[in-house]
Amino acid sequence: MSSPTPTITINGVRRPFSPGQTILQVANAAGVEVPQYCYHDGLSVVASCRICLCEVWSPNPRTGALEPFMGGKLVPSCQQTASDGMVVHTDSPKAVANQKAVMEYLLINHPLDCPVCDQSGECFLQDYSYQYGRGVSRFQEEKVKQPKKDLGNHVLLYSDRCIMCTRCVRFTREVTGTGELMVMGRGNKEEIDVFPGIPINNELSGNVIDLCPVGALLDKDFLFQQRVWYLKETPSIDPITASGDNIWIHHNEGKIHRVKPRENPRVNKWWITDEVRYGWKFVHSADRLGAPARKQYGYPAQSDFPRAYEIAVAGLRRAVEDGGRVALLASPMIACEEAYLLAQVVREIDREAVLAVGPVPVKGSDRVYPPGASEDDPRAFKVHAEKAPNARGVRRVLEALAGPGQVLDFEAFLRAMGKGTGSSGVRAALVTGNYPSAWTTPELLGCLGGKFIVAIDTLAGPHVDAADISLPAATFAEKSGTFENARGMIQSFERALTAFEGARPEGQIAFDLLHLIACGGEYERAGATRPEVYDAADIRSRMAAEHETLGVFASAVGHPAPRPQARPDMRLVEI
Amino acid sequence: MAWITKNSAGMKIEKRSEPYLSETLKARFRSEILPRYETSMGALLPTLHAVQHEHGWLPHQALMEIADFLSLTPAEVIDTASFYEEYWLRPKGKRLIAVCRSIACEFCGQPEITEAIKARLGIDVGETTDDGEWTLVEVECLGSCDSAPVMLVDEKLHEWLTPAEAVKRLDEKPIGSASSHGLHG
Ligand code: SF4
Ligand code: FES
Ligand code: FES
Repeated sequence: MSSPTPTITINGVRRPFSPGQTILQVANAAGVEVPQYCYHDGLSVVASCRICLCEVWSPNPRTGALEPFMGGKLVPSCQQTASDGMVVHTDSPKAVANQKAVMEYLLINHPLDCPVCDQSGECFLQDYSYQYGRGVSRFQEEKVKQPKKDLGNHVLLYSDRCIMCTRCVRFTREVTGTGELMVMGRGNKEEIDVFPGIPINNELSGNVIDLCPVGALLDKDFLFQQRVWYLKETPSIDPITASGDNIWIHHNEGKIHRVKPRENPRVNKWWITDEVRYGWKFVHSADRLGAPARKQYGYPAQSDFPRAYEIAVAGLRRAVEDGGRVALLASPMIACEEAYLLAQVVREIDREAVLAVGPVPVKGSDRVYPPGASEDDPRAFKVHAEKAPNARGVRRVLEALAGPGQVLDFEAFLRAMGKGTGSSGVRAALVTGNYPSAWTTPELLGCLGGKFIVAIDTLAGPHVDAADISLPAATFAEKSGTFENARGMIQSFERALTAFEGARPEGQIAFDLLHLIACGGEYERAGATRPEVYDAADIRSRMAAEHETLGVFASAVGHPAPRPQARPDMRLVEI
Repeated sequence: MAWITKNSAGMKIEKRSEPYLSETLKARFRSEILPRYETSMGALLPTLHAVQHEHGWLPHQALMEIADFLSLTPAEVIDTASFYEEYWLRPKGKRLIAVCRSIACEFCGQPEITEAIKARLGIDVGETTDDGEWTLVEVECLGSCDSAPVMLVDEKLHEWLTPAEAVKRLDEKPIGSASSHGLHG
């Protein structure tokens, strides 16, 4: 008899499923651990590694009595679709015997080099060996020795560690459609390789490193950099393109060591581009600004925050007193919350302040993988030509304050600034950057001349040197906030690192300035009370409360999924 | 354990200016092979056969040309070609001796047959004579266990062999030009 929602029983517990799901998918969704190597949610099913085999009984359609499914053969759970009433055992003597046999077989030619292997600590072979393997090897013959191979700009292959799950090969054929990887040879001689001289350099190549369940495919950039158990992970969002790709920042002791994709079926699926994967280097650039500076005799001289803030507020005020306007160039690289606060700073000083969105870099054109796929295909992956994470979010926030159509783009900003006091009488401007590389253009430099300029930026550059006051800002990794991607999805990211020494998030700088303005612009007087501390979540609720059009920041922000609690596999002993 | 490395990404393959897939060959494949298959992947095996038949083996350049011709990637082509030992990815002699080494033949005296041929040609299994005439390999079951031990010389099957008989068969004239390229040539 079939129940309304179909169920299968896995290891004695009934689990509902939706028709079409495989046994393994049901188990994975329910958090029942079934060992698996070759299966991956994002790839075709080949059922080749055989470690997921389980014992299955199914009801006889006529009598309803349980009978061994497929004559009692072990069944690959990754390939077998679940059907109502099935009884599955992944821990029966037969299933366990298979797990042990597969483990022993895989370890025959696998080197015992975990102490020097980058994957150690996040290796499926290591984990399963511990849980399903045996402690000793019966193999006395010679192991097959395979070479370490250079496969491309980012990817190394230690072939001797490969377990031939072919996830990597399927990725290049099914996801990127570039097909650089292959299985060379057959039997115990088979190995993964590229065609001689044709490297794997497609723009998603780094994903094969994540896919590899063992330490065979390695990241040149991360090679021998850090044992993975020292890494802490913080959920974040692609900070350099408009993709909104979900990422993990893996860091330790204040330094980012790598960036990995964070699964999100609605955005990046399981993947990220190499651009995003290696695009964090500017966070640790030698050109990071580490102290405020003010212009003295035409040159920037190091200053401190209290002084710099005072001069900044005084300068902006003077522009208004002289009958001029104040402008804000809010970069598309900063968080929505920060744009909101910075806009408040300039509007506090000048009700009619000019609000503009900074330049939005575009490189090439959008691309969809696999080539020829439609963008809406659930398997497709899109690479965005727009190289800024938050052009839409910044505009959305500024428009809520200034009114629709009242926010300038960069071109219009340049025109408004013009030379001297510009077409709209701008005499002072707050300019933010936070781009991963140099972004000052001659046009920008030209129109900043003759005005009072406060530059808030992360990296040194000509416009920072030219500014009357420069304030060191924090990169995406050093603060929390939200970005709105090309498809209008607003997603939050968390702070991974403490801000670079001497730098502060733009949001904090804005709070500091607002506080100073509220205290009459004198730091001495302001000293008695403290500025608010930048907290993205607080500001989001404030934004939603203060402006109806910003209600989305309370209702429609995508937050990182809560992490399944990692449970220790050893019993804790009280001492 | 020795540290073996391979610069797969930076390897150079041998190239010649004259293509292996001449226009005439391509025209022939277009009319004879492609129409028989639904996908270009399907046409890969017969195309590999035909090119090997033409040139005796499958140089990397030829594999790249095949990939281009069938709109596959070179990696997909070599993936398939390297799966079957009957496709030759290194040069072989003009004529090929394939001695069956599977269980029936082995029991019926295959080791001695291999030894006799090795002695006669002065080469080891897997090698080619200096004059480029003969290549000797051992293969798995040829499907003729009832007449074991057997060997293939080019495309001709020789059955119920003895070591002496095996050596004598090498003197037989090759049959037709087609056979001069060995197994499935
Ligand atoms: S290199 Fe890694 S992903 Fe590729 S087949 Fe081997 S184990 Fe699997
Ligand atoms: S995960 Fe099922 S066979 Fe590999
Ligand atoms: S074992 Fe030699 S033909 Fe079958």
